[in-house]
Amino acid sequence: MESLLEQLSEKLKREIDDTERLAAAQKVAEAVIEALDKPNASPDGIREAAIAALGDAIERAESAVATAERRLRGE
Amino acid sequence: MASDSWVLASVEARGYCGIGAKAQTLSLDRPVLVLVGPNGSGKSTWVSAIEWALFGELSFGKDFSIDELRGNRAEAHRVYMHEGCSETAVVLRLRREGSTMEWGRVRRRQKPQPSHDEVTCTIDGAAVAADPAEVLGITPDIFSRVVAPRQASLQALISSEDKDRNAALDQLFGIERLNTLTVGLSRARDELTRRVRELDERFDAMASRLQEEVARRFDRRSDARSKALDAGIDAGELTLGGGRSLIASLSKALSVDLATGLDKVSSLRTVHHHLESAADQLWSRPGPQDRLNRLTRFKTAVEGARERWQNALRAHKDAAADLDSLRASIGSEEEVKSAIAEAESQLSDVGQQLSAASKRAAVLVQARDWLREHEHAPGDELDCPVCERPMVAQELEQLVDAAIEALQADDGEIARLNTERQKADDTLREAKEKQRQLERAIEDLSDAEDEASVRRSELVSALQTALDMWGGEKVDEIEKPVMEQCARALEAGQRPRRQGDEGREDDETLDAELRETLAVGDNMLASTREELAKAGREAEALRERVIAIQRLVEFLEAAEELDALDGDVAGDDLMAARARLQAIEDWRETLRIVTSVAGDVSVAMAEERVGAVSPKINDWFGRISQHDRLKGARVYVETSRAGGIVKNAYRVRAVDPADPWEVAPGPMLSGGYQTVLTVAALCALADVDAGGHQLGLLILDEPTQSLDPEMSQQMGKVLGASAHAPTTIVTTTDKAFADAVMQGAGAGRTKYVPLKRWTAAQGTQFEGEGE
Repeated sequence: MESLLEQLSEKLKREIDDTERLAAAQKVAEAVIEALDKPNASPDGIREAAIAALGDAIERAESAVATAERRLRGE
Repeated sequence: MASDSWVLASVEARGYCGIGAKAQTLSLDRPVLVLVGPNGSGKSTWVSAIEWALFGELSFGKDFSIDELRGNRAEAHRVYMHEGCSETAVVLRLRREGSTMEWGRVRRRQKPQPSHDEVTCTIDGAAVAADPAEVLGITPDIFSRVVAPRQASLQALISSEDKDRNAALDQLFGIERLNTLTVGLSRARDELTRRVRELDERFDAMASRLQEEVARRFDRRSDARSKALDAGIDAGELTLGGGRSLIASLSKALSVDLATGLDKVSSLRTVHHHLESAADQLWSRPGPQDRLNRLTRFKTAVEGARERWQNALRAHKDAAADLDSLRASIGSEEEVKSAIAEAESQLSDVGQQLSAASKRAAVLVQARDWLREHEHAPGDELDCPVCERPMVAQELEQLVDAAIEALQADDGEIARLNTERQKADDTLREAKEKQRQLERAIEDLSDAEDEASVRRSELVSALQTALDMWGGEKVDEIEKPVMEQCARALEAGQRPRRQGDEGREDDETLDAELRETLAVGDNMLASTREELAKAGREAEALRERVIAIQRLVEFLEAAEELDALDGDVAGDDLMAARARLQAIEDWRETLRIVTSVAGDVSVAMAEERVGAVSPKINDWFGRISQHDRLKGARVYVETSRAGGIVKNAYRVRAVDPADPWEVAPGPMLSGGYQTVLTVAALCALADVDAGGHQLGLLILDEPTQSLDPEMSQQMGKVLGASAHAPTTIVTTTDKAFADAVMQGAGAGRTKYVPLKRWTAAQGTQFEGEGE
């Protein structure tokens, strides 16, 4: 029986054409399945794993917005 | 369930929950094991010992509420240990096709955490990694779902609450993990959405402010452009190159060295400041202002002094003319003096005559009075008091009277002499008045002469002051003619003034020099003023050029500021932020797809499981059911999606195979049949899905709730007869049910294990043990 990750991966390949997006989705799938396989896996654990899979994208976006705000204020 | 499953042969336990320190062994040497005993006798303890041995803790079953969460949760892990025991040990022995496995777990009170447990696994005496997933392919999830469905699941399955039943079936079907997955992904997506929304709002606010700022700067540039054009800048000059050209031209006009390196607007601004200072200096003192000031001071001082001197000369001349006129009118001083002397002499003579006449008159009056006082006979003669000749008294008296009359009559001698004296007196007074007039005129002439002299001195002093002024300042070459003429005038003024007509000649000479000096000064003043006006006009023109350049620089600065906003903030930081936000948006979309796909997998899995399980449920239910019509059962699933989360709504129904009638758990289905439906579902799941594990075991813990004795026995028979797992453990308090299981399975395939009522002293004990 194929694993859950394999099932997800197969379906993701069918759903996503864009290579870069597919790679990102695979990365998320691997991260969340790893979190799911941990003892006492919870939705919040999955959420954290999915967010963590983004790397520092959010922090970089916040930093970029803050930088633009400072620049606009003339600082 | 895999065909090469390990079969549980025995469970040996000591110090585990209700099992005391003395080791006890539950032997499973037959396919069906029925644990029978009163409530609390330890049936569930024995079946839970298997799970504990494998995983170190129980995922469900007993409710080990844990209050103490601090530290390493030692107390939480000691709850599995029998009170008073220093350690807990459970050993599972399994066999498969000639091989044996021994799995053991020992927990010590000193270190009760699972990570400190001593877990061992040997296969045919050889130690292998004690990993249940590795050696048995089983996880706590699979165990609780397939091997030993928990009592709570059974309760939930037979309840009428869709939510609980769905959750329970999700659990039993193995969908729960996917639910956890999709809910977690959805939460991640929600979190991303929230954070993206916050960032989007900040970004939108920023973009709005930027838009306003761009508009403001654009207006400022437009305004600056209009001002620059109004200041005379050509549209084609509104560039940095245009600014350089204008600065070069203005530098030349202001005689300022041309600055280099004018390749930035800020450089233009700096150079413009320098040029503005130079132009302001020129503007404040354009051309020969000092010369104009000097000439003005000279003209004011000398012209004023000359005018005062000329006035004094005219006054002197008038005084002299007045004196001459007076002399011509009343005579010279000598003539007046002579007239006075003559008048005085005449007055003296008349006075003397008048005195003599008065004396005579007085004598005559005395004589007349005497004659009248004395009587005289006619003919008496008397000596004439005047002529001393003898005269008749009467005649004498007549003569005296006549003499008095001649003296004192109105037209007498005395009256005549008084008149003469009055005339002489008037003549004298008039002469003296003339004399005073002459004296005043002479005095006036003298005063005028003094005034002219003083004014002349002042004039000379003014000329000297002017020369000193020129000597003390940097004299413009152009001023030299007036200065030299002034020196000549001073020289004329400093020569001693002669008297009389020569003095007047000297005055005329000086005045001629003065007139010439002032004429030269006036000419120079006029030309200087003209020169100054011209310089002023030039300075004004330069100043306008400075202002024009200032307007140009302001325009260039405004344009630069606008460009900076467009190219810098908008082009860099803002776009970078936008790109980052877009990246997160991409991630959010990716998460949406992953969530959706996970939901699809969940749906597919649920449908697959339901499709496999439904015939089995029907089979099990049909064999157990004693109902007149409800001889079958089915399960199907309806899925819905909300926020990316897939919800599986399972419908478990008892059905009449001959009729479309179906009954859902609830008021229409009795509690007993709900239990039958539930057990049928559990058995069906065990039939179709062992989760890929190799543990040949099914545990049904108290499956007869709400069943009547007849139904209970029927279920026991069916379970006993139909048990598919290599080993099936059934626990029950119902001895009749236990007997039915034995009956169904056959005595040779069934092991009946009765348990004593649990006591604190003995703990869990099998019947016959300790007797």
